[in-house]
Amino acid sequence: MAELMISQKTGRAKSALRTAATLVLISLSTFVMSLISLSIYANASTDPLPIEAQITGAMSIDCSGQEVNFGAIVASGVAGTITLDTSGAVADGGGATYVSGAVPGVCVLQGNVSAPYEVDYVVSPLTGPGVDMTLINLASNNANGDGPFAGLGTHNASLDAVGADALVFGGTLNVGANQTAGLYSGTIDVTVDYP
Amino acid sequence: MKMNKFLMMSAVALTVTGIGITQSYAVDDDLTINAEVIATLQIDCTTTQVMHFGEIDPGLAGGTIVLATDGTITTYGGDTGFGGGTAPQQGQCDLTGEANRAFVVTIGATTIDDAGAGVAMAVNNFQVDDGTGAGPAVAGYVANLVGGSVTLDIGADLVVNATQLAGSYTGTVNVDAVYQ
Repeated sequence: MAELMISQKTGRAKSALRTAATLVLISLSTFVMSLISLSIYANASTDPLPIEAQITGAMSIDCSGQEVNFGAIVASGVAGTITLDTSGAVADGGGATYVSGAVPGVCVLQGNVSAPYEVDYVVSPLTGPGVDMTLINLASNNANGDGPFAGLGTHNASLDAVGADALVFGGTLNVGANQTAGLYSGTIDVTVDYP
Repeated sequence: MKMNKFLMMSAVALTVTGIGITQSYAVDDDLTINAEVIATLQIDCTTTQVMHFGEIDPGLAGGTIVLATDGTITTYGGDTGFGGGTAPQQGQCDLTGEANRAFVVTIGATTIDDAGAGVAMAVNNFQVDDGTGAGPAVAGYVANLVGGSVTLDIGADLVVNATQLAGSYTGTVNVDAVYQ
């Protein structure tokens, strides 16, 4: 009898569990169906999603248009200097005499509109038939008005509303005593980059 | 925990990628620097030919004698005349320097005197000719150093005063030459 009662109780308990499980399944199914229903409802409408992309253009530099030219110089038995500023003005000093033909150099830049940029210089001496001549006190400026920039090192400037700028270069040329006559040339390696 | 680690690694990877992109925009170009050292311009007016107006008859009223760059007296103006004897000749200066460079010659005015009682006579209106044609030197005579050397012929006007005392009159004038 006792066993029969236990068996009956166990049977009722199992039945109750099955009922509960069924209810849970029904609830879950209803919830999932609701989600599906919501999803279907959302797919029934459209809305434009803004899409944006910014292509960062590489900078370009062209220094071939106008070279730095200290022009014709007369040396003497005393060393001297020729100073060319970025406006094109020339001054001679010591035993060197400026004659004519000096012009500042120009590098043309292109890049992103109104983007800031950094510029660095590496200067090599001028070589020719005599001893090398050195360029000191490199002077540079830019068309967009961020300069003037004194000497080497990193300088900061910005491109203009169309992404352009122009760097202008001068400096002081050391002319040796009795500098051998002839043509001398060197380079300024100009590197630009976005900061 | 694993998700956090994954996100951190992704962030690091993106950061590194970002740095790589920035560096790739650096560009450079060589700007050429030029200079030309040229030969010193030298002028020699002492070992060449002295300017000489010859012998002059001053007359009572005086006048102006024009000595051309070829050494001829083209005008005895006023009351002056040729006195005979020593022939007139133009002055000469030699220029050497950088071949085919332009130069400018400028000569001011001066006087010559006899270091005695005679009144000094003015010499002005200098003319220069490098072989291509005479031109005034006061405002600057421009020419080219063809071949690196050139001889300048120089003439001028001599103002002879009335009743100029007889004598041997001498003087100098600075001839300036510079590259143009």
